[in-house]
Amino acid sequence: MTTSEKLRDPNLSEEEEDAIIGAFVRRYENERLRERWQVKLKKEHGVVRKEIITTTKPAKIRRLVLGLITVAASLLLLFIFWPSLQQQNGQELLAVYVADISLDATRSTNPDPADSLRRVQFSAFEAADYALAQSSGEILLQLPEATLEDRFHLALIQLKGGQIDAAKTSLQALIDEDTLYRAEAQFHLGLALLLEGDKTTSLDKLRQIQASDGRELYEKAQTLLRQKWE
Amino acid sequence: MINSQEDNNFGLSAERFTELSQQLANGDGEELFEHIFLVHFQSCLEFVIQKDQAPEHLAYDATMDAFLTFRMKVTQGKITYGNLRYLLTRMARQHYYKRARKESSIGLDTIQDPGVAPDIDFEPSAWDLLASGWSKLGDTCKKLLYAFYYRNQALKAIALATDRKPEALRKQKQRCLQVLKNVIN
Repeated sequence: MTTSEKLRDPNLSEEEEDAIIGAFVRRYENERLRERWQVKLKKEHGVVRKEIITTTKPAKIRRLVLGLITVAASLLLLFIFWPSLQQQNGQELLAVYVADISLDATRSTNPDPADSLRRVQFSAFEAADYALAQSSGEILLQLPEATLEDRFHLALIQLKGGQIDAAKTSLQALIDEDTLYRAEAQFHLGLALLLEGDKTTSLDKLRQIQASDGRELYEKAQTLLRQKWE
Repeated sequence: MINSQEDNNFGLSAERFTELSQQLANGDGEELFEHIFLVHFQSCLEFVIQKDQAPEHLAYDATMDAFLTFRMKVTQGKITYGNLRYLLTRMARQHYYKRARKESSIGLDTIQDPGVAPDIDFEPSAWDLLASGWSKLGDTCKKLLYAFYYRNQALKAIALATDRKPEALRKQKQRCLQVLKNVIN
C-alpha cells in the first residue's frame, strides 16, 4: 500500500498516522535545514559537496558517448522497424535523446581568440559541468568571433543542464532568425517542451520538421511523434 | 591548557550545552547551534573518509545526516553531555553505512543510540501533496505538529508549555492532520 493510500484509508490507526505524518514533518524540517546548511557550509566554512563526476580524460568520455550513441541508434532502429515497439512510453525515448545531446568538437582551421573559450566549454560539457559550460558559452557570445554554432551549442548546454527556459529562448531565436540551425533548434525545442510536460506544443513543433530538413532529424522527430505520451 | 572534557564536547561546558539545548527546544537557538557545530563539519567528514574509505560525496551526505539527526535529538532532550564529538562521529559513520548499504562492523553503542531509524518512503506525489498541505497550515498547526513530531514532545508537555488543556490540543492536532489528509484526498 502506498503512503497516499494509507492516508486515504479511513481505518488507518492513530499510531500509523503518527508514524507517517511524523516521518513527513521530520524529513520536511531536515530538508529545509540541509539546504540552509549546505549554503552556510559553502559560504562560511568553504565546505562543498564534491560531485561524483570523475575526471576521466576527454578521449575516454568521447568513446563512452560514442558507445552510448551506438546503443541509442540501435534502439532507434529497433523502434523504427518493429511497429509493435513504437507504442512504448515516450519518456524513455526522450531521456535517450537528451542524453545523446553532444557538442560538435570540430574546430576552425584558423583558430581565433574565442577558441580557447570553446575548448573550456567543450571540456566542461564533457565533464558534465554544465554551469561552467554555460558561463563559458555566455562569455563567448559577447565576443565578435562568436558564431551561430556557438549560439546553438549554448542552447544545447542550457537544455542538457536543465535550464529549460533559457534553452527555449535560445532555440526560438535560432528558429525565428531562420538560421542554419533552424531545424535542429526546432527539434531540440521539441525536446525542451516535452521535458516541461508541454506535450501538445512540443509535438506541434516536431511535426514542422520536414524530410528536407535532414533524414536523421526527420526520423528522430517522427519517432517521437509515434510514441505513447501520457 | 585545553579542558579535555570541553574538547570532547566541542568546547562547550555542561551548563552551556544545557542552555543551548533549551534554546533549541524553544525554537530560539538555530543560529547559535550552527555557529557552534557547523565549524566541525569538515573534521567529521574527514573522519568518515579516513575510517571507512568513504567516497567524499557520501561522507558529506552522511555527515549532513548525522548533524541533522544530532540537532533533532538535541531539541528532543535526548543527547546527554559527555562526549558529543564521539557521538557525532559515530552517528556519521552509522549514516554512512546506511547510505552505502553496508553492515556496521561496530557493535551498537551502549551509551547512547544514535537513532538512525529506518525511513518511511514517500512516493513523489504523496510528498508533493503533503508539502503543499503543510504550506496551507497556519502557524499554530505548524508549531503544534513540529513540537509533537520533530521535538517528540507529548501533548501533555506541550499543553503545559502553552497553558492549554491536553484534550483541546489533541482535538487541534486532529484538525491539523485533517488539513494535511484533505490534500491527499
